Amino acid sequence: MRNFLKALFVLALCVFSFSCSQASKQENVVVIYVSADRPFSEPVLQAFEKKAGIVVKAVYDTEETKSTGLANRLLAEKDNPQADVFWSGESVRTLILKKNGVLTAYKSPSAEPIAPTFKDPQGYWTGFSARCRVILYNTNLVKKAEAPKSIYDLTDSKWKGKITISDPRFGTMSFHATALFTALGDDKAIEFFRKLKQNDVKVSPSNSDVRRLVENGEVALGLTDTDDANTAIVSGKPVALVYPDEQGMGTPFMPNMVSLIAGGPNPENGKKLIDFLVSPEAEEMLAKSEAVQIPLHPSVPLRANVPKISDLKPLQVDYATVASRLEEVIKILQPILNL
Amino acid sequence: MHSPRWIFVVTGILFLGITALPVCLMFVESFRTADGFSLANYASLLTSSRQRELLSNSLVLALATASLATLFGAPLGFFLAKLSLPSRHLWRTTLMIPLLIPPYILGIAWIFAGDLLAKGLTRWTFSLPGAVAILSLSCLPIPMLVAEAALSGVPARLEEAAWLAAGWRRTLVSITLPLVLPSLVAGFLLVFILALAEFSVPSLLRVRVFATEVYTQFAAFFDFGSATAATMPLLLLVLVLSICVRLLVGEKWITTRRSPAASPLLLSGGWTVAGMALFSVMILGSVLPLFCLVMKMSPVETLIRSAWGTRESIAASLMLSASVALLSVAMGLLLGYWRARTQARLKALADVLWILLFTLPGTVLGIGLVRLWNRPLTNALYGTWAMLLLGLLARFVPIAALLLAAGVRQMPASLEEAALVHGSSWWRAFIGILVPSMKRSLLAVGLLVFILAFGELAITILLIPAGTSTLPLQIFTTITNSPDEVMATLCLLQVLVILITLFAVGMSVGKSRAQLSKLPA
Repeated sequence: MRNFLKALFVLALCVFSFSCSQASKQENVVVIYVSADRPFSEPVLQAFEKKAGIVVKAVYDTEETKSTGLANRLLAEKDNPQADVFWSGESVRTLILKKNGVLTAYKSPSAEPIAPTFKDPQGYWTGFSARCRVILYNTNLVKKAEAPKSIYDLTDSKWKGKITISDPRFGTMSFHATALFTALGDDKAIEFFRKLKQNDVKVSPSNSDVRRLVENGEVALGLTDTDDANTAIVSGKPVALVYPDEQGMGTPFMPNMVSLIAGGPNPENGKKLIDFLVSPEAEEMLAKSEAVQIPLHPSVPLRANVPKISDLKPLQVDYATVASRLEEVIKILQPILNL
Repeated sequence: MHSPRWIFVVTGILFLGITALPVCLMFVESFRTADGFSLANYASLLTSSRQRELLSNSLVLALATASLATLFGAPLGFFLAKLSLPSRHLWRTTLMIPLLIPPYILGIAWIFAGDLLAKGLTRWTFSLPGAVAILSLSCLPIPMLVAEAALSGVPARLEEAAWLAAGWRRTLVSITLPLVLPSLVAGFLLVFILALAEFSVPSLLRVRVFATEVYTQFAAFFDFGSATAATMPLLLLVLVLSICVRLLVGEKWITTRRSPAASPLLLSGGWTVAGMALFSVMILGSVLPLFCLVMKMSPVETLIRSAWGTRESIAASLMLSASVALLSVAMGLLLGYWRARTQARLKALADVLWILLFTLPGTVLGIGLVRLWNRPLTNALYGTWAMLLLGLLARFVPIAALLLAAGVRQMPASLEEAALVHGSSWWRAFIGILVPSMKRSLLAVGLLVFILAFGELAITILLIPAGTSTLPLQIFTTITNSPDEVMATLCLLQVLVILITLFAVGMSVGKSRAQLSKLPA
C-alpha cells in the first residue's frame, strides 16, 4: 500500500510538471473550438493540418450539449482569448458571441461564391455546409403516400401521441422554433406549438433521441436534422425523411458557421483555417461524410439522393433576428410545452 | 490537539483559493446587471409557481434516491465488511459497476432493456419512479463503499461482548450503528446532492426538475449571472437538509478506543447466506444494464479498434483521475482532520461550506475558475493540464473532506495523544498511526473520487487544454450523432477501462495485505 501511494504521488508530480511545461512550447499552431459533431469535423481539421502544415489544437463539444458548451467558454475567456477560430454547427451561438464582442470580422476570399444569405454582411461569420430541419418517419408505421409534407401535418389528430420533437430550449430545435416565430409571427407559431401539445407530442432531450424513437417505432414521426436522419438511413433503419414545406413556407436551413475570435493568439493561422473550412474542398468532405451536409458552393459535387441547395426552398429568416428572439421564444414555449 | 496549526492554515487557504474564490466571483457577478447592483436575477426564483413545482419534483427525486440508495447500499457495505469473503475486492468492484456507468448512459441502457425484455418496462422507465430507480441504482455503490469502510473500522471486541449478551439486533442498533452513523449520513448527503443536481437522467426520462433551470440559463441564454442565481434554491434545499441532519444526528456518536491492529467482527452461517442472496440480487441489477449495452454493441473488433484509437485519451483520463484522487484524499484528510479535532466554533460552518460547494454545478465553478485564472499573468498555468487538475480538485476536495471528517471522527484521539506523550511528533503520529488506521476509508474515498473525476464533463469541457481530450469527453462528442451500436460500444469501453483499473488496484492492495499478514509479529 505504501509503495502504491508513493507511486501515485510521483505520478501526480509528473503530471503537474508535464502539464506546466506544455505551455511554454512554441509551435506553428491554430486553436479552434468546435461545437459541431466530432466524427464529421475532426477529419476536416486533420486534412487542413496535413495540407497547411499548421498544428490544429481543437477542443470539441456538440451543439446538442446539455453542459455549458464552448460558447460559454469563449464568453468567459473574452478578456484573454485562448482560441483563434470558432466552428459552430448552428447559428444561435455564433450570433450571441458576436453580440457580446467575442468575434472579429474576417471575409474569406474562399467564401466568394457562397450566397450572401449565408454570410454576415460585416464578416463576423461565414456559413458553409448546411443541414436542414426535416421530418423523419418510420417506414413500417407510415406509408410513403401518407408521409407528412409539412410541419403542420404533425398536428393532425391521426398522429396523436406518435410524434416527437427535441427540446426547443437547446440545439437546432431552438433555432427551428425561433425561426418559426420570426417567419410566421407569434400568433401562428404559438397556435402551432399549442396544437402539437394537444396532439401529445413527446419532447425528447436531443435530436439523436428523436432519431432513436422514430427508428425504434416508438413514434411514427419526428422533427430532426439531416445528419441525424442520414445516420439512421445509412445504418439501414426503417426510416425515411421529408424536406417539409417545400410548397409552402420553406425548409429551415442551418449552415455551419465559422468565425475569427477577437484577440486570438494566432490570427493569421486562424484566417488560413477559415479559408480552408469555407472552401469547396472542405464542403466536399462534409458532403461525402455520414452527415451528408449540403454544400453552399455550387461547384461541389453531391451524393445521390442529396438535393442541391438550389433545388430546395429555404425558410426565409434573418439569422441575427432569430438569435435575438431566442430567449423570448423559450419563455413563451416553456408553459405551452410544459418544459 | 497538539498539531502544528500552520499546516491547516496553509491547506485552508489553498482550499479557499481553489474552490471558494472562483465561486464568490460568480455570486458577486450574479448581483450585477447593466444597471449596477440588483436582485433582478433572484427576483422570480422562489415566487414563480412553475419553479416551485420543479423544486418540489427535485426534492422528491433526491430524497427518494438517497433513501433507496442508502437502504440497499448500507446492507451491502455491511456484508462486504462483515463476511469472510475470498477476493473481497472482486465482489466490491462488481457491485460498483453502476457507479462506473455515466447516469445518462445507465438511463439509455435501461431503455434498451425495455426494448429487449418488455415494452411495459420502457413505459415505466419514463416516469419519476423510473428516474428514482435508475439514479438509486447508479448511486447505490456510494453508501455501500462508505458503510464498508466505516464498518471495517469497528473492532471486533466491541461487538462480540454485546452480541453474546444482548443479541445481534440490539448490538447493531446500540453499538454498530452509532459508530458508523456519521459516515452513513455523509454518504446519504452525497447521494442527495448528486441526485438533486442531476439533469441528464431526468431530462432523458422526461421528468421535469429544477436542475434544468441552471442548464437553461447557461446553455440557452448564456447568462452567467442568472445561471449562478438559479443555483440558489438548490443550495437552500441542501442547507436545510444539512441542518436537519445535524440536529438529528449531531456529534453525539463518535469514537472508540480502537487499536489499529484490531480486526472487525466477521460473521458466518446464516449471515453468509443472507449476504450472498443480497449480493446476487444487486449484481443482477448492476450487470443487467451492462448486459444490455453488450447486446447492443458492435462486434468486438470495433471495441478493440476504439480502444486503440482512444489510447491517448484513456492514458490522459487515468493519469488525471489518479492525480485528482490522490491529491483530493491528501487535502481532504487534512481538512477533515481539522474538522474532526478542532474545538473552534467554525467547524460546523466547514461542513456547510463543503456541502454547498459540492452542490454547485460544475459549470458555475468552471466558469468562475476561467474568470479567475485566465489572465496574462497566469498564462503559464491556464490552458495546461494543471489548470484542469485544479478545477477537478476544486470539484472533489469538498466531498473528500466531508467523508474523511466522518472517518476521522471514528478514530479515537487518545491514540495520537498516547504517541505524543511518548515523545512522537504530531506529524509522525499522523502518518504512522492515523493514516494506517484509516486506510480503508482513504481507499474508499480515493476510489470514489477517481470514478467521479474520470466521468466528469462540465468542468473538463471548460478547462481542457486545446488539442487534448479525456476519454469521456471524446466519447461524449462522438456518440451524439452515432448509431446505438456505436454508443453502446464506446460506453462499454469507458466502463471496462475503469473496471480493469479498479481490479488492478484491488489486487495490488490485496497482495500488500497478504504480504503484511505473513510478516512476523
